[in-house]
Amino acid sequence: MKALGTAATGMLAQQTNVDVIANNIANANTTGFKAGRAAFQDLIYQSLRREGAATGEGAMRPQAVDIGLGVQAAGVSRLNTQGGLTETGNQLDMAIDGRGYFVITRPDGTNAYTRDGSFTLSAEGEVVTLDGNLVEPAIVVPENTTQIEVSQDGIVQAYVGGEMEPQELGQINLATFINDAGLKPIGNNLFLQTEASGEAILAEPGEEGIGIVRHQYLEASNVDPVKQMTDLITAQRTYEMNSKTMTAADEMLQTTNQIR
Amino acid sequence: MDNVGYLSLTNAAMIGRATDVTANNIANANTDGFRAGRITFEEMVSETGAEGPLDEMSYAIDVGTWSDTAEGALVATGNPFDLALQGGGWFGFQTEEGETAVGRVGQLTKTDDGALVTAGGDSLLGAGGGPVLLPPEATEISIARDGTISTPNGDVIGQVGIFQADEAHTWKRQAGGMLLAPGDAGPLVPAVDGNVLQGFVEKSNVDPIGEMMRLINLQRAYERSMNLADSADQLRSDTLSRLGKPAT
Repeated sequence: MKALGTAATGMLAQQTNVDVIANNIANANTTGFKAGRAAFQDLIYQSLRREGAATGEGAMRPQAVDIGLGVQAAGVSRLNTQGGLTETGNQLDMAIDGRGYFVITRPDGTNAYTRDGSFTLSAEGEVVTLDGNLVEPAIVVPENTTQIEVSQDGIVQAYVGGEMEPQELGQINLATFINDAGLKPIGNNLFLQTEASGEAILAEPGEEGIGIVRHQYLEASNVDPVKQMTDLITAQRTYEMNSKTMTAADEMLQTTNQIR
Repeated sequence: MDNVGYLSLTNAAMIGRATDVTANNIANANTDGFRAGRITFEEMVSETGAEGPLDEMSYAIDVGTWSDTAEGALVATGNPFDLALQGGGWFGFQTEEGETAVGRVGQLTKTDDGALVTAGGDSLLGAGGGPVLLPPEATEISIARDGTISTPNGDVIGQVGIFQADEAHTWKRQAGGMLLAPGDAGPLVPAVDGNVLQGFVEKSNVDPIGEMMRLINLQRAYERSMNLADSADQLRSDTLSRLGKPAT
């Protein structure tokens, strides 16, 4: 009897599901976070009888006896939908409204990508993420800056001292990917490009198909708490059902052991 | 000949298989697009060699598994690459082995070459019978009810195939929610009318209450056939001890 093992695969899969849901709920308030979703698929089927086998002269078995061996978590996909935009009033907060990622330079010189635009200034006046990673291309805010403006197409300007005309500091570019879902999350709201995502394509915000930059806004997490709670209930009940299968299979084996 | 022992043994073996099918359904109660499996038994009559009313005994034998093709619940997800079919029809897929299969799995992701694949790696077929390939720049797509894929500015870039599968409940079940046509079937036939919903996922069609009931029934039936074997054993043991007692 395979029922014991089959039930175990079901429990394992729902355990993965609960892990993914728990991570979503934990990040329900994380800027720029994208909800994940575990995708399941049924495992292979074991053929106990083959269809097409001869059952007599000129007759054959029309149907096979194929017994499925359970379920597996085939992958965790990210839902790349837009999160809500929240006004913060903070001078260096930016949100992407539409497609695209901010480009970040990590300490080892490689690039990472993020939707989290809660930037601050380093001691040298560079625009950095909350972890101190540089925003690419580097933008240095001069001393005595009274106000920073970022246009929807990503041009950063600063009013320095008492000047009436703003200085242009640089242009924020957005990276897009052929396959956003292929980006690898590495924590700290950062993603790395992979073979599956394809190379980053840099573009100015507001170009066709590219999002625009909303200054003094942040993109909230796109986790829908109600959906996560209902998913959690479904996952827990499915887990319970599988444990019932396990008990039934166990008791059946026990019955077998009791006959002499 | 100890027929009762064999009778209860075949019965228990068949109930064991039915339990495996139910266990697989329960394990996949939360697998999107999954179709519940069913198993059918029939009577196999065999000669016992005895004379009189006990010259034949009938054993249970499994004749086939099939799929319950009832629709699962549709749930809105808002994800543009989630597709579901409302009503009849099937999506066509090319499996990783290159075979053509049908399924109702619609949780798709776009690969770097523009194909739409399930989590199991099977690529969605277009109306023409080949895999759907989206141009790299098409990142926002909208899919109409008839499966037409278009970009936000209205360019049609393909069509999701909706196929009909006659007798789909007898098709061979494969991993990843795929059903393979029997060997002699030709290419997939487009469905007369189909209704694609974008941003929806079709859940598993496993009925939890029904499966739990089935599980309880199977477990009790298993116990009954084991009790039968036990009773037969007791009976024989009693017979031997009584007959073997020397007359006093």
